[in-house]
Amino acid sequence: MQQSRADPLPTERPLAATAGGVVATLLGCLLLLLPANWVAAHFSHDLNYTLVPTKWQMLADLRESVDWLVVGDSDGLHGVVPSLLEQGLGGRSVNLCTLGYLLALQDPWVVETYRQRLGPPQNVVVVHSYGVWPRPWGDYTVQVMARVPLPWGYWRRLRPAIALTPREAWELWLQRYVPLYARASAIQNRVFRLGPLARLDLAAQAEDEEGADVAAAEPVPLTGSPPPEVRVAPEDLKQGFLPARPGTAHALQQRLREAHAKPPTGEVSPPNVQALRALMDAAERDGFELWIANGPIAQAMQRDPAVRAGLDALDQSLLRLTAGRPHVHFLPGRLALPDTWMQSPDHALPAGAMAYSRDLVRRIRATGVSSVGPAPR
Amino acid sequence: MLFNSVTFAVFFAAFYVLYLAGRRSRVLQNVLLLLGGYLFYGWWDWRFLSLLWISTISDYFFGLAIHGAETEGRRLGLVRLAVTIQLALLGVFKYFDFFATSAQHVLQSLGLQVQPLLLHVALPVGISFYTFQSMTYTIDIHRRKLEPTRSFLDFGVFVSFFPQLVAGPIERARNLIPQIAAPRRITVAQVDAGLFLLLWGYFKKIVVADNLAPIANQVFNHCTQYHGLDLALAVLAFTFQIYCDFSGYSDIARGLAKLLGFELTINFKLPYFARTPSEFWQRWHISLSTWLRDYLYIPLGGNRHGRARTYRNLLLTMLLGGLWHGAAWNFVICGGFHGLRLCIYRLIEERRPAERPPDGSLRALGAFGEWLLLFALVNVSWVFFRCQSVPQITYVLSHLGPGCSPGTLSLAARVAFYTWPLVAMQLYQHVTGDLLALARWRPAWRVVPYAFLLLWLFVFGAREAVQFIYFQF
Repeated sequence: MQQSRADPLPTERPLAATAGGVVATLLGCLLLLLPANWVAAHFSHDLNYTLVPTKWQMLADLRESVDWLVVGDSDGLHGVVPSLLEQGLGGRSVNLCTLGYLLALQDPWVVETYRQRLGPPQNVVVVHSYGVWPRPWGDYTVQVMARVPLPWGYWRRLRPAIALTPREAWELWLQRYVPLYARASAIQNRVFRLGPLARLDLAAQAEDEEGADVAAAEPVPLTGSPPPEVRVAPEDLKQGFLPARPGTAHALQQRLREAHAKPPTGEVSPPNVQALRALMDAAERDGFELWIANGPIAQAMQRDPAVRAGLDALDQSLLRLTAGRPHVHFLPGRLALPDTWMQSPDHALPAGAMAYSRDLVRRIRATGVSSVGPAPR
Repeated sequence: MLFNSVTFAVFFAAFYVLYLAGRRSRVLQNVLLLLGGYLFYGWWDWRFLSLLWISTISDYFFGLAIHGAETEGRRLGLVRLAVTIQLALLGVFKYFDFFATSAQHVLQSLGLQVQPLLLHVALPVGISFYTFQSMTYTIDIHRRKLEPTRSFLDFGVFVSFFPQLVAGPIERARNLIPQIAAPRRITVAQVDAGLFLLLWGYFKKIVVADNLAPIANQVFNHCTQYHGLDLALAVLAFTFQIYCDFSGYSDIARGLAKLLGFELTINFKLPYFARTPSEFWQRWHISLSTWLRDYLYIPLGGNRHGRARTYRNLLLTMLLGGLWHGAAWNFVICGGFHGLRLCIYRLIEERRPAERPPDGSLRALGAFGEWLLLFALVNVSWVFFRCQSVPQITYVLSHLGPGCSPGTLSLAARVAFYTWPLVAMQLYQHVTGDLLALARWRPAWRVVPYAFLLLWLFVFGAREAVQFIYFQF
């Protein structure tokens, strides 16, 4: 085509490279990225990132056996106050609950690791949210699995054994050893909070559009008086209880709307069935008592007939799964707390956690199992 | 198999180990390249491998037949047949439904109701690239610029060479086949340059293009909700996105090829520094623009038959170039716009009086003005490319302006955030005139920018493997 009167075009001039130079460059990059990787690993205190290793460290730090080992997801993390369990049931307890992203898989893994270190436990209490039981295996499960500080391949050695696809194993490896990659979202969030970058979150905007149907639904009325001020004992924090921080009424409303829009179906996902069976087998084999409890819910949930029906169906599923196991005690039903006592549809604020823990004690005692001694004064 | 996927990383790692292990045998390496190419292509849909095989088999035998033909008429007939087969593949799989529905619309506007037969076939990935590449073989043999290869294996590797199979550069047979046929040697300089191209190509794709894509998509897909400056920023975002997406692919392809001991055509030479449309096409998708020049514009007569024919040839070439990009009217309009721009610039150039160019700052100012004008026009051309309908094109172009929304500043900040490393690097490449300028630094110095690029890849790189824009062509 036509000739231009332009500047000379750029080109690629040959490089005078040496093998040593190439290797030095690769090693130099590695040397520069290692400190960045270290910084990323220690970058801020992001609960999702630090919680799992913290709880496993608590397990590793246990010097003697406990009477009540509490495992489960964030419902238990924010809901079970160890000192109340001890007051109501006697003995010593520890709350090793983490996140629902790990499904119920972490429960048998924690119990087995505990058994390997300290012998069989006496009583294990499992607390899960209604939302965790149907949750399928997902990418986030692998990401959180990477945070379990056990030697590589623990998921194959512990029961239930999990077979990861090569892609999942690669993702887990990246999440575990390349925090620069694993923590990218946290770092990005920090960067994008700077100045004008913060004002337009396109991803959030897109999510808002997707959630427009939910947002447009009728608002869920919140009931209940403000929760009483309660003081959380430092001992409870040391024993693994994490008080939920109050959120905004708007956020709670939004979460409730989402829950109403997608009520539970009574399904228990295959990996959760697998995990529950492994845990029940361990209880039968080692002779410990296993208590399976539902986390608390907001009263707004209980008022919705569709949600209530779904929760009842879930109880039926869990009853069927746990039937015929003498050491396994499923505690159907769930404590519905005033909406204002909740951070989210299933996360209790500290006052709610105390009510929930007392209710849990009452339910466990009501089973009349002999391992539960007389209530201490 | 996308370059920016774990699957490809595993594939290439395994492939490269085998390839290096077979370094003593060129034939073995070529067998590996052939099988690797088929695996790479078949990963999308193994059924489309048949198209690759049709291209390979037909052009291999046509090449031999054209070379062996005794009369010029027979040579011409054979090359026409060979080209027709390749164009037929394109026509059936890429353009049939487009032309059928377009004809239906025309007939409908005339009051005739017809139900055209539509094939509804999925577009085979990269078909425009490998058919054009394959055509260079038979045409160059016909032009006596190339001897046919006797090795079917070598020709098979030429058509299915996986680094550039699905999105270019569109290699000439006379560049690639001799490399495939020659004893192979991977030099340290090739590895060094190849690693740089891989790093820079992945950065452009994963950090720049894939992060600008949501910004451009958000605004273009909901353009009526945005103000004038938002639209302008989205156009700018897409301008950088498409460049980084496509040139990123080319860089990765060339980097991989270098690691395998091959040299591919440089496909991009800082196109956004161009000051005239013709210069732009000497810098943008060079392998396609030179293909169109050598196999379409010049055979049409080029600029040899008077002004009117020259303008006609320019327009026709660019219109067909637009259509090459996709079976949709927006691509045709885009091509037409590029053609018109070339004609207008040429017209002005012809009528400009020959005067001494100004010196110093005036000259620099003039050059800057030329650059700015062309950059603005390039941005406009991408509106045709990005929009999916004529009303959308009209809306965006008619609403570009200075109007701001509460999100404008943030939009600008995001575009600036993701593009500043690109702009800095390209300015440096422009000033040095060397696309490998950074790779030329001493190892002790270059580790800093290299590590910076890697850091950004880790932290800001898009996680989902997003398909390259040019795969659809």
